[in-house]
Amino acid sequence: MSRYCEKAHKQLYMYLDGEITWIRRIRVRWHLRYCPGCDRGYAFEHGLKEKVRRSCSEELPPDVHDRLRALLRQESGGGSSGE
Amino acid sequence: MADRATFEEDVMPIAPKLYSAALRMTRNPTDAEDVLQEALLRAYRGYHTFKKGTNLRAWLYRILTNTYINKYRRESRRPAEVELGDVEDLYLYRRVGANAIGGAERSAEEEALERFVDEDVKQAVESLPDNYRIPVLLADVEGFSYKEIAEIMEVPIGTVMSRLHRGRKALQQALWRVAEDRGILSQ
Repeated sequence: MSRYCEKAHKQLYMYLDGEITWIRRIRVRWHLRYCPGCDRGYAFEHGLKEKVRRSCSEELPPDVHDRLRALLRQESGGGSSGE
Repeated sequence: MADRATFEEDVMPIAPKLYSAALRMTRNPTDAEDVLQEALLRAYRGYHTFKKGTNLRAWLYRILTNTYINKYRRESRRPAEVELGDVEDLYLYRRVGANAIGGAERSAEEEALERFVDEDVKQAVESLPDNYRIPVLLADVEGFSYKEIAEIMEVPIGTVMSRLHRGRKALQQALWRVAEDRGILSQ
C-alpha cells in the first residue's frame, strides 16, 4: 500500500460524506483512477452507505399520520389564543 | 420568528422522515409514535423561538433526539459504549471479499452487499448503542452534514466524526455477524 493509498483511506468517510475541500476531492479521485484496490474499497463503502439509507427509510403509516394531525389540531384549538 | 399558525404545513411534510428516525431510535412502532408525538408537541410549543429561514429540519431532529434521549436513556437496555476493540478500516469489505466467488469483475464485494435484505441492515443498525446509532442515522439515512449533526446532538464536530467513524465500523461488524448467522454469503 502506497502512502497515497493511506491518504485515501484516511479521507474515505469525509469524501463519501461530502466533507472535504474540492482540491482534496480531486486528489482522491485522481488516486482512485489509478488504484483499482482503493477504487473498489471506496465503491463498496459508497454502496453500503446507500444501502443503509434505503433500508432504513420507512413510510409513515396513515393512521399514525392522522393521529399526529389530530394531536396538533387539538393543541392549537385547545390552548389559549396566545399569539 | 415562526408563526404557530403555519406549524402544521411547515412540519408535517417532514413527519415521515422523523418517524423513520424515531423508529430506528426506539426500535418499535409504539415507542416511535410516542416519541414523535411528544417531539412535535414540544416543537409546536417552542415554535415561536424558531428563527424562520434557518434550518427547520435540523431544529426538529434536535428536538426529536432530545426527546428520545430524555425518555429512554434511563431505561436503556444496552451499555452506552460497546467494546469495539481495534477494528480495521474496510472491515466488511475485506471479509466479504474473502468469501466472494470469482472476484475479478465489477466488484464481487458489491454484489455480496446486495444479498443483505432491508431487515438485515435494520437489525444491524438497531444493535448499535445510541452514541453510535444516532450519528450514523443522521449522516447516512438523513444526509445531515457533520456541522448539522453537531448542532443536533449538541457535541463538537470532532466528536461527531469519531463517533461516526466508530459507529460505521461497529455497523460493519454487526452486518458481518448477521451474514454469518444467516449464512448469506456462503451460497
